[in-house]
Amino acid sequence: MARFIVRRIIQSLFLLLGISVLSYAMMRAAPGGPESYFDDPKIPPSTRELLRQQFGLNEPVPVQYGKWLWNALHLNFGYSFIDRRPVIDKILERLPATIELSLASLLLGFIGIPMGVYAAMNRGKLPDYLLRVLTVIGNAVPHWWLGLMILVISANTIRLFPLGGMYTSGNDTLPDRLWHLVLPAAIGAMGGWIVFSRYLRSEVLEVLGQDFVRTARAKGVREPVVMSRHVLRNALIPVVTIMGGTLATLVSGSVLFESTFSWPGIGRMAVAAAFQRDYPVLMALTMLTSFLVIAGNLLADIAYGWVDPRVRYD
Amino acid sequence: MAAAGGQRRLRLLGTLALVVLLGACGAADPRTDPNAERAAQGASTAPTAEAAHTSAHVGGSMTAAAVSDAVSFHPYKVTDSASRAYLSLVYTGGLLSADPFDPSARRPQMAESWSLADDRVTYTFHLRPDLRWSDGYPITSADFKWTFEQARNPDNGYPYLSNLKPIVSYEAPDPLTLVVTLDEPLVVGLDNADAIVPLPKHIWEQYDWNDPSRNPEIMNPTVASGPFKLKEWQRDSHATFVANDLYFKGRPNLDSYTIQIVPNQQIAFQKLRAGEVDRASFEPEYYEQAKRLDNVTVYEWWPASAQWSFLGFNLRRPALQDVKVRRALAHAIDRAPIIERIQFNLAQPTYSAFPPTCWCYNPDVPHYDYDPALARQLLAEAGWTPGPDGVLVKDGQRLKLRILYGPNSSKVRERIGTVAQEEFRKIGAEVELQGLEWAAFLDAASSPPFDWDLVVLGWNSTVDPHWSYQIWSESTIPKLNMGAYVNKRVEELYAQGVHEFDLEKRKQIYQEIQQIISDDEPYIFLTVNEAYVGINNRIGGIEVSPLGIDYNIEKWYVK
Amino acid sequence: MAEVTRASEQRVTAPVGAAEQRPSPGYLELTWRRLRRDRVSMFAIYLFAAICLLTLAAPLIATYVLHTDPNAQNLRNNFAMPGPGNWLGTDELGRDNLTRVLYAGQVSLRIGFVVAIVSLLLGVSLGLVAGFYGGLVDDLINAVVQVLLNIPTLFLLILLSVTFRPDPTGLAIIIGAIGWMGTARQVRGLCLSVARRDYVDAARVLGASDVRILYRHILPNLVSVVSVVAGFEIASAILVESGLSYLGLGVQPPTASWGNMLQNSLDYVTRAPWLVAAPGLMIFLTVLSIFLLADGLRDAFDPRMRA
Repeated sequence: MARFIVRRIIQSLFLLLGISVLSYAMMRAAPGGPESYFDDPKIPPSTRELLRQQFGLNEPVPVQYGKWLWNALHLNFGYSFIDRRPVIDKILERLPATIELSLASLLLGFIGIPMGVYAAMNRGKLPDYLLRVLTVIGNAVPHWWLGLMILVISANTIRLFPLGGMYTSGNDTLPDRLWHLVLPAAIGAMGGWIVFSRYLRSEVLEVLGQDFVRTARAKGVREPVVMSRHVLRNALIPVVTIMGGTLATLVSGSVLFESTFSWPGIGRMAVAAAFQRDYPVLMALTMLTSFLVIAGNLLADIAYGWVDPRVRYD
Repeated sequence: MAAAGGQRRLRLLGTLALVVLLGACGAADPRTDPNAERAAQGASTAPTAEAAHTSAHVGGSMTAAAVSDAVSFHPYKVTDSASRAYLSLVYTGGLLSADPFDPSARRPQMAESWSLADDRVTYTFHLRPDLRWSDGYPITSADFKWTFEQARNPDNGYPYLSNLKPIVSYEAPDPLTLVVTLDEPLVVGLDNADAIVPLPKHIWEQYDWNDPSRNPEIMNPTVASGPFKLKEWQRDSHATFVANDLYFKGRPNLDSYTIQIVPNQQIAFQKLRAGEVDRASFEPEYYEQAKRLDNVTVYEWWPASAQWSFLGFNLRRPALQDVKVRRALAHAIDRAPIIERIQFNLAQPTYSAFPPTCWCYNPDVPHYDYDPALARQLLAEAGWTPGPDGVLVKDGQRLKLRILYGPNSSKVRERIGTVAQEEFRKIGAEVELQGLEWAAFLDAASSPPFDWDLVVLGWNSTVDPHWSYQIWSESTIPKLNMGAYVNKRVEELYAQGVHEFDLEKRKQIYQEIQQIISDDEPYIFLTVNEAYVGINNRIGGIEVSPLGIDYNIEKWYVK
Repeated sequence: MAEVTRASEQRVTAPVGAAEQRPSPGYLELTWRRLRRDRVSMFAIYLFAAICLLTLAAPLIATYVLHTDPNAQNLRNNFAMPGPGNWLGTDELGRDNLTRVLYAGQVSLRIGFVVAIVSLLLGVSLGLVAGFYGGLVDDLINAVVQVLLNIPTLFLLILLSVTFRPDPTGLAIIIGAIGWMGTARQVRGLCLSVARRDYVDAARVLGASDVRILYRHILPNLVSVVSVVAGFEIASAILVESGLSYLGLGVQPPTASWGNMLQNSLDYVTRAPWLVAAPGLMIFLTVLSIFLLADGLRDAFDPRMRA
């Protein structure tokens, strides 16, 4: 087990390295490169030269990469081109918001689990049918669009929830924050909810078809016990692995949801940085989000390996 | 001393008189649209000299929606309008201010009086004795001088350093007096002299001027000179300001003013409508809806520092070097439906290098009105005849035009470009339209190989006509003078204009400039835009002026 | 976006939907027969085919049926409500919405197909190579797969989109180039399991070359994997493009795609809701039909895997 963990961690580190090379390469490949930011005509050439020097853009590329990597390991991602503030500060300001939204979406997404189980238990009947229709529709509709429609509709009719934002200025209390969290988390949870319910449904059905369940029933074990002790425990095992994947989705999706709901997280910062060619920020965010995804998958692998001893990846 | 001076607000906190529209926004968030620029621009204060305000209305808070967050609170680093808006709340700019109802005239602000010596280059300002920083320290000439010394230091990278070039010396003989000497007598000399927004020397001198990690005041100013102090700033979310009791014009009525960041103007409008924010700018298409709202009043005005839009020609292209071709293309554009349908009547047509709101406006310049038949005729005269597929041909070359616009998020510009594309196509040109995001657009338009024929763009003009010389000057090719227009007579006239102290004679000069430019038609001048903003009815004290509504923000109150 | 993860990022431990069968002449026919019986899938096929035909025929429809031009502006008739002459109303410049939706469909569907082709080409070839040859090659390809899988898709797309500022085809290539990993893994798994089979060893002993083994044993099974994945790829691509356009990074105006028509019309959702409904509905219907079809195909290829 320990060897397994160590091996996975080493793999993850190499992965991060590979990702850093890839994103650095893409950054340099950009037409205009990192220096295009300084093409603002209002900035006089002398200042531009000064800024270029200060950002170290005069050195050879591999050297710049090496320096950047070394700094990144110390959590120093350089300074934003826009406001010359340390990138790490800018990220730390916004990261809690994204984490808050992602966690809330993840938790709400777990609703998919009981829904999937319920649908499996009522296979072929109305609840099952309803769920399948809903998941299919849910997959076909862009979630950000749904969120936007809800915002617009509620702005024009009854407003149960605020139209975005994290909390009301001057009223930073827990109930206020929760109230602001409801809509964005509900929309964010859609992805997870769809995946969980479909997966659980098929897992439960598969387990239900297996011999040991039939045996348990034949022995006279009562249905609720059959469900909880035999079926669920086996069906829930793979959930851990899906969670790793859902994390990636959430981080990705944060870009869209945060824009729609005026949520001050790193997703919005990423979009703004993209438009302004703020490469230090983009690089840092790519590394950070990849790190989150890798960490999530790593944890999921380890958890799965621990929970289900039959499976060990090599 | 004659009052013909420049538009100080933009000079102090903006470009050397001209801001490429959205370029300022572009630095912060190119997805904003001209309307956000207006709103942010509106938030900058140009306070009047009247100090009294009733105490009956004290209290309450106000929230405004904004599409971009500021970059920082450093007056000598920022170039975007969102930051300037925040800055204007905490720092008072300048010794004098423009009279909101007569923007060419100057009124006392931080200086209670001023005089110009007979040499016409030495300005003496007398500061008000009751100026205080929000921590109680007096604001003195030492603050001004120290700030000037920092700003003019080339190592400090002040983007608009050239603003300070005319200043030869900047002295503070005693705490309440400033003596500024320029290098030559200029009509706009007063504004040149009043170039500094003072920073608190007693706080800032212990910190690094450039590095936010070594100067907390850059991101979190604790000492203010403006109507408000910063209380809280959560990036991309909101910024809350509270009343500054020591503001020299008296404590604002409002207890607090919050700027809330929203992702786009549509949501800003929805929030305004729902009462979640008290103030918002929005796209022209919401204007009618906004006017019908019970809880909101839409304030509109024709800004003295007008925003005008145009199609600019790239005069490097052989086909466009023939003035007949340019005039023909001008005749192909119908401004009326653009104004009616794209800008929802929140604009008026313009045909001249200066907007109708300028005192120097020349109404007699040639108007190239919508006349597609005349357009085709002019093109024929210029040697362009229809080829086999209908596209005009001359000497074997097809009339191919490439129109650029930016940022690609500006719907108004996209639509204007699309309309132009269609209209030019109808008179026989083959037209390609391309939108680019702001940085890419600037790159494509103002650096080689200049592969475009027309750009859809806009300028913010200034109250004083002098500063627009930069658009037409050979020395600013290609950054500001993107189309490479060269006319020595025009440059000569501009040089004369800034030295001409007689108002009538000065007006003649600018009228001649307009005549020449409209004859040459390096731009198809399109429209001048009205400014507007929606404010919840619970806020009172707002009065529109050619300088907007923010000049008296300290007088606003909650009803 | 669950839509994206489904195709490429789901962590599967075994190939799904690929029943290992000896190639038999009736395999595809059996599949088709099963598919025919599934009414939902047939409905999906008809719907998707109809959408494709309509968009393909956009120029013909515009000229002969509607007598409109997608670029013809009529500013004074902007925001017209749906009615005779403009069955889906007009947009902010007075252009006919229905015509534009059809033309935009060409762009969006083309993106979908190009993405599917690119990702399948990359996925199948790399998966085959990795599965067939194993060893170092397999490790190398696996490393690339892992790197790409672990950068959140949208971030990567934003980075690439800003870096290269692509046109619609370029955009499609980019989306495809980062979406092949799931296919590759499945194909690789398929290769690994088939290559170990006895009959393959027997064929080798008899002198069959690698190519022949590929052709007769692996390829038929590939069809089932590929067609299902292709379906999901096309659908996700359309959704991804709409998301990118919402952010301002997808297809750039003035070229119209469903994604950027949707984004463009969001400003007018209260004034002219039909402008939002049309592209939104098209995206929804197209994606829906593809998902249903792909689901149905999966069930048809191997009814044992039906949940």
